[in-house]
Amino acid sequence: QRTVTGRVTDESGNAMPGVNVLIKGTSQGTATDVEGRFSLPVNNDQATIVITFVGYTSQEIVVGSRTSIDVQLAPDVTTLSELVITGYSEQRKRDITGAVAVVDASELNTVRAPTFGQKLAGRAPGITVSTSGQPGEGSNIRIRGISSISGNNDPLVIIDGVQIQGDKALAGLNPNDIETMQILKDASSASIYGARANAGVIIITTKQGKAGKLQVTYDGYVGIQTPVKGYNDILIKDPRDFARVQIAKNPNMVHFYGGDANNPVIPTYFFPTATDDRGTADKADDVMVPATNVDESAYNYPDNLIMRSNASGTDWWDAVFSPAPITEHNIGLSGGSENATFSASIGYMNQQGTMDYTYFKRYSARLNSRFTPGKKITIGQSLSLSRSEQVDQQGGNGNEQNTITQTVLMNTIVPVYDIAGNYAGAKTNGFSNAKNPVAFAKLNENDKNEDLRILGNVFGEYKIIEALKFRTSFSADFRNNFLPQANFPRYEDREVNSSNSYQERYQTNFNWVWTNTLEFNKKFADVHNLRILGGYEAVQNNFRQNQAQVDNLQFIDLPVRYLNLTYSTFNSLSSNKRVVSLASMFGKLDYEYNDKYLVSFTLRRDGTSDFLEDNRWGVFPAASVGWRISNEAFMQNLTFLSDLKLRAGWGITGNQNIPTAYNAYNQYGGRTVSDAGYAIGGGNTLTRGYTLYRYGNPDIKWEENTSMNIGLDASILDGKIGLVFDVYKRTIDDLIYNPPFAGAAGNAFPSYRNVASMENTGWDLGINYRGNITGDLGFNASLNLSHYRNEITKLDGEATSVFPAGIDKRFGEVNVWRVGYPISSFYGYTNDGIFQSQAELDAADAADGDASSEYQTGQAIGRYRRKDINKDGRINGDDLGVIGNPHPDLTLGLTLGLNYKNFDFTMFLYASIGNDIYNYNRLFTHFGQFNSNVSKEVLTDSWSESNPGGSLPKLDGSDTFASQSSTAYVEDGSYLRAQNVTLGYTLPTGRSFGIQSLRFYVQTQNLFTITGYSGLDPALSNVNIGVNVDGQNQNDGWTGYDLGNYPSSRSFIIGVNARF
Amino acid sequence: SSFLDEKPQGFLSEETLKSEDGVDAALIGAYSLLDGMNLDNNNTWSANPWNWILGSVPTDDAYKGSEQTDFPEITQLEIYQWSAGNAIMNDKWVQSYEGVKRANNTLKLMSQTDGIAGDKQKTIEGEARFLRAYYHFELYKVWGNVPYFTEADGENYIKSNVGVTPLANAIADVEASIPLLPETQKERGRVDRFAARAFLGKMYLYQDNVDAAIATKAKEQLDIVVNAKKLAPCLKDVFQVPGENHEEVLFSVQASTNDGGNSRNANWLNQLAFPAGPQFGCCGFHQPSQDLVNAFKVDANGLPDTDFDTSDDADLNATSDFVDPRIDLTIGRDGVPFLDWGVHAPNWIRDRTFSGPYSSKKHIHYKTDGTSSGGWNNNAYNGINYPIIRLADAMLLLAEAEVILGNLNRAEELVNLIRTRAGACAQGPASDDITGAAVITTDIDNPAITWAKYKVEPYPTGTFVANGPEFAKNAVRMERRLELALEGHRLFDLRRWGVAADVLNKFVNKTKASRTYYSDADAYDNVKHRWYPIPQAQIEANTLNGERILKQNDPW
Repeated sequence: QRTVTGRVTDESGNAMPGVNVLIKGTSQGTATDVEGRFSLPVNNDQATIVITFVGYTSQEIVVGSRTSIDVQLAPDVTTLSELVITGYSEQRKRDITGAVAVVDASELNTVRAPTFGQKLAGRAPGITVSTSGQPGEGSNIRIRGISSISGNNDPLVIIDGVQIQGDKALAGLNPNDIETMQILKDASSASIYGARANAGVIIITTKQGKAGKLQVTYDGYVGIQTPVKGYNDILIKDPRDFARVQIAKNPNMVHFYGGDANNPVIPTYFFPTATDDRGTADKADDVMVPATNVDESAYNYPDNLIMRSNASGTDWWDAVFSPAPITEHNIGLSGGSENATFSASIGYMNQQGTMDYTYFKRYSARLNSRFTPGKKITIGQSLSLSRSEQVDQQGGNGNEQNTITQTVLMNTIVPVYDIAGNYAGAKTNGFSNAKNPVAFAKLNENDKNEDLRILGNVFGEYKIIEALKFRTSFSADFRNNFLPQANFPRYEDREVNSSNSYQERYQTNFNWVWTNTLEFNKKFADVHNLRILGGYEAVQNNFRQNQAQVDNLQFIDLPVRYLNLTYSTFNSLSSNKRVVSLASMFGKLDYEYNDKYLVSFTLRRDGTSDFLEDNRWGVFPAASVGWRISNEAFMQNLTFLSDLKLRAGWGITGNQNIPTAYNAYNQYGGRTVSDAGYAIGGGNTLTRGYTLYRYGNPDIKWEENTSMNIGLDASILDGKIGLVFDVYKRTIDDLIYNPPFAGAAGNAFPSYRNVASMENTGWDLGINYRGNITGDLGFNASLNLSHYRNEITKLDGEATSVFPAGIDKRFGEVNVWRVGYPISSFYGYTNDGIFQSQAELDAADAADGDASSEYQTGQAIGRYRRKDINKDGRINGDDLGVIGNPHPDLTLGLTLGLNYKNFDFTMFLYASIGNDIYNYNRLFTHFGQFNSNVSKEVLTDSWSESNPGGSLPKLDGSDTFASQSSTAYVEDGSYLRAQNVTLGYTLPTGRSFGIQSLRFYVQTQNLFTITGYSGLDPALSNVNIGVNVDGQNQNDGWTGYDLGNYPSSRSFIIGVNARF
Repeated sequence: SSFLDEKPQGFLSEETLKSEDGVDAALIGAYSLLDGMNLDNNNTWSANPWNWILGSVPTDDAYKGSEQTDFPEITQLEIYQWSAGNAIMNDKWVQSYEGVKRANNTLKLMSQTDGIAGDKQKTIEGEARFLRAYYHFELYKVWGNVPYFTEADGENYIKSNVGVTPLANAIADVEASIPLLPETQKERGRVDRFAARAFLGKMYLYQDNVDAAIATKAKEQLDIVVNAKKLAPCLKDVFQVPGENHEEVLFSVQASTNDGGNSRNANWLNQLAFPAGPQFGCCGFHQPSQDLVNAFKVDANGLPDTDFDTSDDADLNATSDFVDPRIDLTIGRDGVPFLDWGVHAPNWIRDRTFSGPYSSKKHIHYKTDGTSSGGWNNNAYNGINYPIIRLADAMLLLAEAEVILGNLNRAEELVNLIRTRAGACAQGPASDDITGAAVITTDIDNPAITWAKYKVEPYPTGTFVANGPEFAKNAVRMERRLELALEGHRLFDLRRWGVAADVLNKFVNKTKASRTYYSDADAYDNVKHRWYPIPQAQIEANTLNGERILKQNDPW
């Protein structure tokens, strides 16, 4: 026996610690030390050593007579032998039989976006991500369409064992810490996570230390973001143009502007106004005219405001939006010895919003460590802290009362400031009800949402015998959130508000997960690979919230902006708590025969405290099979095919997610003091009253998602080309949602119930290519294509249609679920052109056989003609129906990469094709509700006798019907966007100055967008329009609606990656 | 496992309410819906008990007001372009049924609760049954064919409206409540036997084809009330915080301010109907019509035009015409002091060419009374109670019954009581010359009144008999219009009288000249417009086995 020594290095010659070196056919082996060195006793010259390391191609070397063997490992381009975590255990990627997308974290991190969601967009087939441009805004990540609707389609995210769910859950995660990421898309892979896996699972592990020398990395960038398109590209700017529109709609306004309808005159002052006495007794025809002889010295705030006209028009968009910087810095440290490794990072990110005063800042730190004190024991921990600060646009996204919508509503004749430098407003009658957008933005600057989050995990592993491993893991997620909000008087508005108010909301979440698993993993007779996993898990979520508001603060300056009743009036106070517990048992069996046949079974049983005893437990089975065809003898001639595997899976996942607390119980009391309290004795003292304010549903049970998946994985030409194709069908039964009850149930919050069944069918295709064109020139490309079709297949109970978001005060119902149609379908009338003539009207009237009855209420020449859907010859409620579908036919992500010597170039394109957008903004931009500013199109494209081809209805203030929900709001929302283009250069430093590698890059996001959509940005986040059921943000109930959406910006950044 | 047995937190269960106090608290909850609002951030405009959207704007009393582009759905109601998809109506449906549900839940809870004192039990049942009837009556007035829900329906909220008799059911409930209710209640907000009788009288007269037998039943109830109660000295008193619980007010919505309820118990739903002037900010809806202004004209004898048809009247000339002083307690006019807010001025109106120069006034508080803080328009959140039924209403209903029964002298006497009170006071000057303090009401002949020639007189004794029953009927109806103007009754009165088409179409035709958008108006049809279209959302929500069982009112 003698000893062989050697050193293992990677492709660039760096030492590789921790590499397994084994003598083939024996259990004799060792691992390399921090310098990559190993020494191993061998018996004879015929011995073969096997050198393996995750992510690298294994090598087998016959020792021969050598005593020293140096090995350089090459990265395994196929990465198929990579181990990935798919369900409490690791699995070789090549053995996966479910639909699992493994996202390349390094590729993800080439995109320098502030949040994880933005980076993920388009990176994996079957994943759709929507994010608004609002800094720090959470992303809606949807895996294979909408799987559930109870306010939570967010996938379960498991970060180092910590389970997180919720749309903003990931905003606090520093994406640079991600080392690996897997997305479990179908039930056969995800059902091991049972109860919470319904919307898919994203498993993230953060960077772990490697044994070896201390490694220091720095990644940072600075950049500038600019608004891509603003309302100043869409809306009228010249006040005279606006006056022309207003006068056409309301001839009375000609008196205000003077001149005539074609040549209005902008007065010097628009406020105050005077009344022109027409001399009649009742003065009903008196008109408003601009005051002349305004004495500016009489200005007095707030009682005598004076506002000069801005004759050239205020560009309100420009007044609120400007280029904004973005920067991020991350420092990472990692290292360790053979039995103790660590990885630590600190990060800082600061994204200023293109809308003034909005921003997102994040400070984060992470420490991961791992110890192997003996051969049998591994213990480790991860801990991350992040603090973020965010200022949103006032009112939030998707709200008529937000800053962006104010830039649409506000008339351009209004300057930003009045003659004394106070905010000006549209105070004149006949002007808009807008709030000054600059005031709106500025006064919101201290409404800072502060979030503190601590995620921690400790785990221990004990190898009872080589094949049997016990693991216990405890994770905790602690979150503190504080949100203040101040409101200020607005004397400059037409709708004056003269009092201030201040409120605070304080929330804490404490969630913990304790998981214990036992895993048996053994290969028998060299061909039977068996893994059995069993486990138990307990989860508890604790939520606490306090909220209070005071009014009429005598002092509202920041240093005294507190809830203090000595100088304010009490308004409201509330406090609530919620605890949800989950307990689960699960088992999984994976069997593989000779690398050819794979089967996997999973069974999980979940119980939740949110359901009552009888419905509490759900059982979620799954099974999948795989056949590696390429290993069959008959395939051996096809040498171009390195791997070909056919997969099929079936499984059920569950959903118990209910946004509101204690849904099983009828809840009595009152939502607020005023809800059921009443001054029964007169005066101003309320007698307490109690009422049923929230319906409970004791019968609520598990929502079940049955999914079938058939997939194919292929690796061609030694892994140069990879292909993953999946077709799937997901059937969701007993969907949990809280649609309004019939009106006779009153206005108590409706309970969450099992209301419907839904189906998603679709396919995902991923193709990637990686290769060298010449020695210096490399090329890679990956294409992700996804298609799904969503359909409501059944509504439980009695309703034939459900209006999930209730009734919008402006439109009635705009959003419907109806059997045979996709979820969140748009609802309204279908327009059938514009009535061109009396003859057309007469013919329409006669369509029901009775020429004396009107075809359509409010019909007139130049107005929209509604289509008679039920063909009864007249228009009524029965002609309302589905008018649009927000779901895309196809989404596409295409990454193109080139590298030449030290240069690298990548471009990422994203496209969404075939989705409709409900452009709610048109209520203002095209129909001018509340005398809002309007689109330039209104001036050029409105129907008139001289413009009979105009696509917009005649300008007519009496037309109260044009703005009803109809196809006039629905647009094709398809787009193609160059999401990201990067050019990098790696300095050939060698190792001088202690620098191992140094790369500089420039990157632009959102370089161009090709779309026919007329609004600001076709990439919408889901919004929250109007009054929602239960005050909840019904995200997926409102897919595809655009109202005051903060658009994405274009950014240019320059950055550096350095490794020391 | 016990790990999964989470005890619910932060709310009461039905069990906790099973005591006398708990049942009463549930009853208070039923009362609290009288203001049409329960949810904190829900502007349930059409559920306003003042009913100006559904009962006043679509009549000859008022225009939508504000400006063209603000709530065009209300304009559609105003000019009879009704449709099931009109979004504004649904709140009335839901909120009224919320009231029904709360009343029913009180009854259900009471039946499951032991140990409530017998008297108390009777009272609670009487109050709850009255409230249930009231909320259904609100639904009936608007839609006619509405299902009636009782505690026996449990948690079934889907019901057909084919062949329903909601008014008869409501009448039966109120009839049953009368023996249960006490003569008087210690707390002014609670319904007592007088209020129930008055309301019962009203409901009888809201039936179709009121004949002598029905009128007799109405008279029986109303006589008791009218004989027992007195009118307030001045009409304005009952619309002001200090006088709002005068005995004239038989039953009202108790509004309150600065009560910790974020202004939601104040007159939240009226905030749109304040003048759009600088004091209030928003928005000038519910502007009185020229026709209503003209209706207040009186002749030199202080009496209305004897044809009681205002559609052919010349517009009021404030400097030369005599006018009923109630005009300035009801309507804000330029040049006339607006309570203690100063003189109503042109800039208080958003767009006079759109909807005229007038403001509604009854629901406006005294500046000195102040408002409730919180909300987006805190200048409007006052504590003025809405009188659901007041003695003047009951008297005029009784007068209607008396006319039907041929007792014209009694009808005249009742009308004259109202007219006499009308002459008792008028809007005073904005400030006293000597003290500078606001004088809100004063004698009608106060020399400081320069903006109008006030005059109002009772009909000379025997006028009704001399002119016959048709005259008497119209005189009573005219008086009802004047006295109860802008209180949300007009459309429902016109409908039950069967004269809506006649009156409203004349009004529309005349108004086309001054309000341009009236040229778009559909003709009011006594059959078609007898009921509003049921909100489409409710049609869709009330399905059984895939069948829509809530039938839309014909021909909507």
